[in-house]
Amino acid sequence: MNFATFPLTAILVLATTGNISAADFNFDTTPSGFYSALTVTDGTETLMVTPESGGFVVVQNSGVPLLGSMSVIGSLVNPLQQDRFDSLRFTFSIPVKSITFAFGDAGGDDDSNVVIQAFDSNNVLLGTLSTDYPANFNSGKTLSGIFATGAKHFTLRSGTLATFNPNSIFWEVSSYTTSLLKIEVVPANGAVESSSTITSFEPNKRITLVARVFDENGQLVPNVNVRLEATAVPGSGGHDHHDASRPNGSLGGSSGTLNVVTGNTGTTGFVFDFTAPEISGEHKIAPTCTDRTCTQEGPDTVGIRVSGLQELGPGTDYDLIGQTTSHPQNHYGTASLIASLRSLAQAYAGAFPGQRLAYNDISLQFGGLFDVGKDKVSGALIPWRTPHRSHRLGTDVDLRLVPASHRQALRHLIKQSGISTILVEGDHWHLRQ
Amino acid sequence: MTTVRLMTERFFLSMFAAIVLVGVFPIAFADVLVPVVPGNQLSVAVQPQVTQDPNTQIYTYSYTISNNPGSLQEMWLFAVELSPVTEVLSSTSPSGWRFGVHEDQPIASWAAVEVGQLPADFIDDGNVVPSPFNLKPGETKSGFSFQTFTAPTDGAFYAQGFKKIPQVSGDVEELTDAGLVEPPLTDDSYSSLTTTPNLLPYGGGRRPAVDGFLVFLNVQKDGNVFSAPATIIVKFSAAGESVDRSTFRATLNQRDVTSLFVPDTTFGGDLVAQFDFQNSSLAHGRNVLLTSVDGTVPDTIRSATDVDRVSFDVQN
Repeated sequence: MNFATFPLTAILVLATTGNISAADFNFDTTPSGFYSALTVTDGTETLMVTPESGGFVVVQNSGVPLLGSMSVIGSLVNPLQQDRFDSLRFTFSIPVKSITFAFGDAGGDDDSNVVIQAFDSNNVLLGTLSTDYPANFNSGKTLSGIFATGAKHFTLRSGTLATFNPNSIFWEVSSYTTSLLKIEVVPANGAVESSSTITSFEPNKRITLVARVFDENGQLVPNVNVRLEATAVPGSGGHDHHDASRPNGSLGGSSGTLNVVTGNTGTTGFVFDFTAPEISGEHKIAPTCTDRTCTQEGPDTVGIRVSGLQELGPGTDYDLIGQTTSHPQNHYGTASLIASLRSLAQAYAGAFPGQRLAYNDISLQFGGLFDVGKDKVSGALIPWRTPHRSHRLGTDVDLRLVPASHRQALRHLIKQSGISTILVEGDHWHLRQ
Repeated sequence: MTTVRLMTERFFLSMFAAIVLVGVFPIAFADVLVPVVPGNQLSVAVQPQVTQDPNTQIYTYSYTISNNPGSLQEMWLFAVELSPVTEVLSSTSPSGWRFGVHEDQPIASWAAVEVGQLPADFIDDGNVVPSPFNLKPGETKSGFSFQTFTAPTDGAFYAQGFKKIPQVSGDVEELTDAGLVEPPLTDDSYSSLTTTPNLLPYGGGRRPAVDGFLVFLNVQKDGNVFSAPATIIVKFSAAGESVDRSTFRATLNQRDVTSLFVPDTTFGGDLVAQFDFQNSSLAHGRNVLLTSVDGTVPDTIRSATDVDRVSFDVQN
């Protein structure tokens, strides 16, 4: 046995990492016969065996104890004839990081060497494994290799690289570990927003995303079954209350109401829609591969927000009121409204020294539905529902009543401040810019 | 039998219509106590008076306003149009009225805001209280005035009749759906033309693309008469252009007076120069001021120079 390319220390790693599937591609359950190509599935991994010169892949008992009941051999003709054997190609659907081949011949011919070459997804040679195989040796041997970047296919031949020996060698895979696959979700149009956020958009809007699977070389892995699940992040969007009824984003088509969607990546990726609920916040997109193992990579968050909202921080001429444990930050508005509210309070204090305005709800940090409704009997918050439908875009604010004698002046100051609409709503004024 | 069936159908049709309406217009939760009322149910006559102080070049605009006896509303607010760069230096208001310049549009307005002593049995409904100083139909009121450097021309005025603010009993779902949004002041008033400081500042008038790099707030193309000292106010970037203020240069009667222009925003400009016979080349009679500043031509990356030439007479 010759580990010419791969040192022994690397081989030792094989036993402790990856998803070892011992003897799954040993063909012991494969029906004997002649195949133009042979495809064998082992869980999430698929192995395709093809003859290198257009002959056959033959499944039969080799008589070699190490190879068990069945293994494969390449043949140029049907039935088998001496000196008419062929090389084979083993191609894996998921690149393998390590592999051990078992091979052998029951003896009696002039077997010499065996050579196995490993290639990556771009058909770049990763390494060569070789060993001798004496003419009367009949126990079978193994060759192992580790390919950190993942080997996509192997050529297995008898003889040397320079000279093909058309004698019989039976092959099988004793064990292997697959390359780690990565799944990412990106906007169908445009780049991801940041290292943590896929993209951000407004409540009730829809965006198209695509899930793609890559191997460790960054090569797109086609035809992977994937599952996507969207889940609202507790506490996000200014809602410091959370329960299972918080609406998640809807995945799927226009009629999608579920937060889970499944599909196949095909050749370019699995395209799906994310429809935002009316509640702002962050939603985690959890992508998984359902027919193999993959890990999520890249940003995993979709932000639902009304863009450009700013916080009306504390001021010398006004008070901020209306904060609750459910919505502790209730004073986010458009830049224009925030500026107007500051100048309005300043003007009011100028007109009535010592008097301060009190601003109640504007919008939550990311805007969107501001669920302040309460049960009329218990007084408990009714989450994730209207009213406060107007307090979504950062353009509306509730203002505590000022003394009646000041209201006409305040009305004039409001008009000067660039706030166009006043509505008396019960015990407060509702302003909209 | 037919009548009963017809009534039944009508009932269900009504119910269906109600359900549809509730679905489309989710007002709910509130009764409308005060609907939106038009603010233009009055007509007024405005008598403007404009004077200019030859020493300071400051204009004083004064208005006398009469509410037509046939008006249906008292006037609580009177506004006049300004130029976009008009800076109001001072103002006066009739008793019970307050003056202000609007931040979102070039408008100045007066409003009757004082309501006096509220009666002991006053019931507070959350709405505004009408001011006894409102201009009632048939009344005339003066004392509306302000001062500015901006020269007069025709401009709009807006007189709004007093009305309560739209009111509902509680939070509404959506103001627009509920029809509770008042039109803007300029669309919800009696409006006509009067004389206002609506003249755009003089920017040279030779190259429109660059004229806004520098404008004169208190100098027009012709007919400028000053008493010494002569104050010149310039403003950069009148239309938001990108201007390199460090390139500003000025000569008065061919002598460099750049250093006499100092930063001063008191009058709404950026630089102010005060020329007298001692500190500058100011001359009796006709004077020529030449200014230049570099900037970027709007919507391009091209640099250009705005060169402006104004003349004025000094009479003392």
